[in-house]
Amino acid sequence: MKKYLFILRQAPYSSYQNLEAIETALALATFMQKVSLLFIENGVLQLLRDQNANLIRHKQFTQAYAGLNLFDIKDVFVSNTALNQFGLRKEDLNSNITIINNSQIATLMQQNDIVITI
Amino acid sequence: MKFVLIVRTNHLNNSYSALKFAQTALQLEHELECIYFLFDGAYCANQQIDMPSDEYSLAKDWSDLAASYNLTLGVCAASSTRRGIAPNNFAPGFAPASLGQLVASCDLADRVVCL
Repeated sequence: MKKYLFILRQAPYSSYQNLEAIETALALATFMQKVSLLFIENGVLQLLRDQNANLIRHKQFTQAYAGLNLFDIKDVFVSNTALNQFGLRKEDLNSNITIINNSQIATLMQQNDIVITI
Repeated sequence: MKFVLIVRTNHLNNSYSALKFAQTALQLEHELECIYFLFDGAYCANQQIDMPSDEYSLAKDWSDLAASYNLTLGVCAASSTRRGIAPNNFAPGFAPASLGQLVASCDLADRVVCL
């Protein structure tokens, strides 16, 4: 078993790869792989509550982040730096997300075997 | 060393880095356990891509690489279906592959590179 880390750095609807990444992460979890997610840069916007992508004819996929623990994905992180850049607080985000700083991000990347950056 | 290469960039957008990585790794006698085309990488498999004659055609380069080293180029079925690239439209050397196959290859690999 390998440890997978997905790093999401794009705004939610700027690319379909964001939806595909979460779909892939969930699929890997069903293969009993250890999966973690890290949101940095514009990627933090994926975590905002109360989004409605249906208005722009895009599937609303970000609510999946609230139910990741059902798939045994418990390690979901967001960059402190990115949150500050957008003036966001923990209350603005979906629940169960851990805020980490840059040195913790470096440690996280070292702890995982496979890093997939979107 | 045993590598798995995940290509997630399309044929117009930087997947040359992935091709070059694969060619170099094989020339240096590393093993490529699997080359897997995920997300926009699935575009690389489309045999109907017809590049102008004075530009490079990566799909042909991938097929040539697969033929020279007897490799299978695995394409994520969900990714290719979304992009309108059915298996009968794949260039030579490309074949549909499941995420389960990718996981099995990653388990065997020393390094997984995603470009």
